[in-house]
Amino acid sequence: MKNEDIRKKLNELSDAPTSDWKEETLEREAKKGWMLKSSYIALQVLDALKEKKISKTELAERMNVSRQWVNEIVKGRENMTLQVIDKLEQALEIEIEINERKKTVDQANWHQAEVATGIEQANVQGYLTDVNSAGSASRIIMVQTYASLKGTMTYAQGSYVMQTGLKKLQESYDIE
Amino acid sequence: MRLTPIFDCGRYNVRGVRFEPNDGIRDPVVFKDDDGYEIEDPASLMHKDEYRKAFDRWANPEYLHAFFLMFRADLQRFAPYLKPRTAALRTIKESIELAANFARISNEGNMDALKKTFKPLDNRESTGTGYWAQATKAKGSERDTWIRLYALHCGDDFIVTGGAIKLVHFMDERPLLQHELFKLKFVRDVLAKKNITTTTGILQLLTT
Repeated sequence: MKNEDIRKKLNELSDAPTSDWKEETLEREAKKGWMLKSSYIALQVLDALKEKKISKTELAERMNVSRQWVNEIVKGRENMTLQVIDKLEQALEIEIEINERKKTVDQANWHQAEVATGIEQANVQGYLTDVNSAGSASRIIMVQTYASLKGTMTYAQGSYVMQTGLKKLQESYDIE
Repeated sequence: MRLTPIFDCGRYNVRGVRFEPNDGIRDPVVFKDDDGYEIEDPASLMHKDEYRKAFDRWANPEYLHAFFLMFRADLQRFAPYLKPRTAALRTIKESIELAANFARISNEGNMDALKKTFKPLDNRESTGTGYWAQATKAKGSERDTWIRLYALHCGDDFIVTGGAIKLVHFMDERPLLQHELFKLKFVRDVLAKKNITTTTGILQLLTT
């Protein structure tokens, strides 16, 4: 079947476009700044709801607003004022960050993690796994082993990584 | 089943499949909030084509939060130590970039770029190594992305049958991905009955 014939048959199966997708996309891109902030706040609210075992209905009651409005917030659609953010903080007893402060560990950022610890990517993963499951004595040995294997750290630097590196890594890269 | 035109790019058209109730296509996983309400409004889902549905999900923090909590173990294997919250935000950012990329390609009429964005699914699935090995070997600024659009290539048209977040190697490993395969085959069969043959089989779209 020729491409023109396929097109004709597909057109028969098609409805009229529901809206201008390109226009919507460009609009979304223009709103990207506040939409990402709003989504980031929504995710913090969702984390808090889960952690504190609070439902959206309960949150709405605590804030004295409608459940529907809370729905808009957790869907990242609400362009929130500072007053709303403050209300959320009080209702959930959390501190909300407006901008994503922490970097994420993805392929592009692993090299930064490597720099932070002096350990290569594969070993950073192994290091975190092992450190989490090992006793303190073993941790020192592990760090020294990784460091000496890679020739990246002295004993003192290894100890520093053991004591502060993991915490620093967790804080800097928003990892568990 | 109906099709919704999404955008054109030179002589190519991209359309999204809109399933109708009598097609019997149901999402295998329905995410609910703690009050027992469905996170996605079932009434509005009925009117959406699969292209829009995918992008709406990828823009919805509540849906993504629930998704990454449910598939937390897969997430940890894909991106060790990444929190669901961080994964959700990353998805939102990537989907905005992907949509903007389509808009750019469409405005430029860059058919080559559109064609290259779609990669055959069959080869990767059958070898079991191709795509995954390449993706995990990617270094530097090339990132490992998990959002996927699935499409059939018919003549000069790309028919998007669905979208998913793919955190595992193979399509048959998770019900949501099996469902995407089912939809691809369903649409292929409907088109075949109308003598519309797909030219290059099943495709999946990768972000560039």
